[in-house]
Amino acid sequence: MSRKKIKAQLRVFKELENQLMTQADRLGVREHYTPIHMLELEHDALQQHTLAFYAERANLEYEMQMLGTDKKETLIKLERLHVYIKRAERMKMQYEKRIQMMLEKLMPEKENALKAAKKIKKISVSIGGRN
Amino acid sequence: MSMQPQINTGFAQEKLYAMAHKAQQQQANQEVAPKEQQVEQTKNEQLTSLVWETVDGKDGAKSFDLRGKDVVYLTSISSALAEDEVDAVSNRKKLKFRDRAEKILKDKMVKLAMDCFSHNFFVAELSKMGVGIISGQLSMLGVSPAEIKELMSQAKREKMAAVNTGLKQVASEKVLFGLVTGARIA
Repeated sequence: MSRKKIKAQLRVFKELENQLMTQADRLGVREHYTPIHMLELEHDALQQHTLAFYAERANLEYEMQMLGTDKKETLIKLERLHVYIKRAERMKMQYEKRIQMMLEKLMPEKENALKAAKKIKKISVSIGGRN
Repeated sequence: MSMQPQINTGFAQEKLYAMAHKAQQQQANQEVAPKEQQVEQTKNEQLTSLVWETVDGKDGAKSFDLRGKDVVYLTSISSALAEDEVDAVSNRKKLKFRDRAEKILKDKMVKLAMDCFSHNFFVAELSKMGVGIISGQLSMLGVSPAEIKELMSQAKREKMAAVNTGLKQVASEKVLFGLVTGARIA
């Protein structure tokens, strides 16, 4: 697919998303769809696709070994699936990284908070102790 | 000099002839078929927009009747006089016009109320107008304001679910596109 077509398709996705967001805004649930939530949606979808790819690969392997189907065709499919799976794994990592980064952005003083939590844990309070 | 309106009956006659011919063929087929299949006495025939009903007599003679449609014209409900007429008809024909009209209007209202939250300004405004008209008609049919409010909230819930599903679908398609083409979708 040419670069121009890819850009056009991505623009279509963006437009669809914008329209749905406008509808969510009119419904009063715009704040529910934060950038993190959107990323999570994509991450979930990616996971589902990855699972589907794995299942398809298992099916193709079974088909090739047990049933007498066209091996050349199956091998080509397997090769394509391998590429897709690798790509999916890479994308999943990227998504996780981005989600993590966004969460860190939302909590800038996370380290300070953790330190404070540790200090709180260290403090022990005895109730009804000796005089 | 007044012009007399002329009705072209040729087409109707042809149709009747075709119906009679078809009925005759069916009768011939029924004679060959076993008796168990002849239990059904009434059969519906449909050629165009008219619904014909074939009634088999005991002596084997057939007659044809035009079957009326259970349609409620919304414009006729809007006046009290027409409403009485509808009541009278429903009592006579044992048809629940009111219930049917109410159900249709409720379904329509939910759909229009869902469109009220459309991203398209004109669609949203037009739907609001439609909701107003239909809620008026529902009130005339005796639907309580609480029920209308409940319908509106149901539409809102359905729309929220639709938006959620839509966003999930777009995300899924976007990801799949990225996987297949290798484009950076972020």
